[in-house]
Amino acid sequence: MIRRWTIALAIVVIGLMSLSLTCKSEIVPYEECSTIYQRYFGREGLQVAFIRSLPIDDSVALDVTQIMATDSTAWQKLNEDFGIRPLPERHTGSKSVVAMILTNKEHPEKHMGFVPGETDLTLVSSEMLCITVFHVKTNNDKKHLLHREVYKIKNRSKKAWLCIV
Amino acid sequence: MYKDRTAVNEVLLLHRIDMELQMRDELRRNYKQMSRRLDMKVVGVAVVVAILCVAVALTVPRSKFGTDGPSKGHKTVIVERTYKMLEQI
Repeated sequence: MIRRWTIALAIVVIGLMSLSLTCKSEIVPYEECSTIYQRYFGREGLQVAFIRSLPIDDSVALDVTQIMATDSTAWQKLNEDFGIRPLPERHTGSKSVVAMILTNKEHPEKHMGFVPGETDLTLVSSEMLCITVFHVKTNNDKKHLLHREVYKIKNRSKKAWLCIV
Repeated sequence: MYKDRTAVNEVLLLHRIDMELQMRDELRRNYKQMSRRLDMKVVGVAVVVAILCVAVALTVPRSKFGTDGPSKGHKTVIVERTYKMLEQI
């Protein structure tokens, strides 16, 4: 009887260990984080985060680096690093605006057209003092990112159709 | 006559002992069989639970975070902020 429960317990423990090991490996080692993350990590006035495989929609997941400034000085410096000029007030008005720019992967101060493998899609929010860099690899990634709402609606109607069928 | 009766009693007693031994053996066999069946059921359930754990571990998509290892609440804030910025493009 003891043997039976020992074996069962051992098998359940193995299963739980595999689950915990996978959960534990949630932290990405520093060397595997993006260049931008490594560049800004630990800088004063900035909170930097790197997310691997953030789901954008059902089919696409991207690596993301987010840099948030905690004060206006750090935000200004960040804008200079990324070659961002503040938008005139007539463009922003009272609405919160997120600007989108295509930046070079190695040199984010260089803005360029989209070249797969060389360009990141960067979102800038002056309201949140935050820059989010999406490390896109292909045109398909970019399409899914920009048309996320469209794909969401398409998927919803596809799922509804499947339910009806 | 007395001797006959004793002999008959002895034979009956031996027969009874034999029957009881047979019953005991049968009970022992049944017990082993039931025990084996229960072993298999318990181990089977444990294997299913372990397989489910492994399946969950492998299939549930999970974002991974950089070395600063933010707390769970902070991770949620970061992810929500990212999606909010996407919606505001």
